[in-house]
Amino acid sequence: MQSKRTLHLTAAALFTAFALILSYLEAILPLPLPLPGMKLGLANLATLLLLYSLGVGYAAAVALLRILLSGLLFGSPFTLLYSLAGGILAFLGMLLARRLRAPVLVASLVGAALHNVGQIAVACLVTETPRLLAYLPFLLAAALVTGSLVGIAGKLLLKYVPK
Amino acid sequence: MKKLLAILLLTVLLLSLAACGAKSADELTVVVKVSGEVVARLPLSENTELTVDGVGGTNHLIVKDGAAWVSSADCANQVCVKTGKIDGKSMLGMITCLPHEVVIYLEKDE
Repeated sequence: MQSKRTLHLTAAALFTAFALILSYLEAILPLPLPLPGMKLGLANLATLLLLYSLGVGYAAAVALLRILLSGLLFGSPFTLLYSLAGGILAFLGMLLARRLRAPVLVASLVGAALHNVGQIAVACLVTETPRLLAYLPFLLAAALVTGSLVGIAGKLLLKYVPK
Repeated sequence: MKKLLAILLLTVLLLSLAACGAKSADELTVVVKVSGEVVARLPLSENTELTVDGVGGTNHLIVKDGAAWVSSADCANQVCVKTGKIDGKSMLGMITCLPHEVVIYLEKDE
């Protein structure tokens, strides 16, 4: 029992490092489209895998750690606010998908879409400009692509993750 | 689940189409907002340049020949510069610099 807990803790620590590397990759990659708030969402892969293996607690802890650490390391207080809003909303959506026993791909799509919704909501509040919502259809279209890619990667990788 | 995905796809498509509603080539005004405050209103028909004082940095706005664009900015992501020119035919007619809390958009005159 004790060794299983150690295994899970180690796995969670490795996943945090994995998510941070993906966040770093994302921070240095140029964005293909000039859409404010657009992201590839690569780091969500770690959250997704944990949610479907070790469970909600580990997934939430790693997601929160990743957001805070990557905000401090590669971002600014400004980016932290956005990723926190997007990240929490995305996590809740993926949690619901998991509870409904939806496939990994669906959870990934829900997460990608809600991440954008959360970010644009913060953007509207910060700039006091509701018309920024007009970006949402474009961001959601982008989320369909990025969410699918991350979802497929998640499905392929899930069998190598300890339960 | 397939049905759900199809509905999601269709909604996204319809929303995108709704957002692209064609604007007439009427006189347009370039509105510059910083943190929700309108700091400048420039007619799109007049050639001007303006350095927008955003939060923690600046964005250089150029209005020329019926189009507006941000030529340079000292923000990290450069989304505003990469957005390029906006004019009466633009799909969104909006330039955003979230790090500086700057939004520039075209508004139809009354």
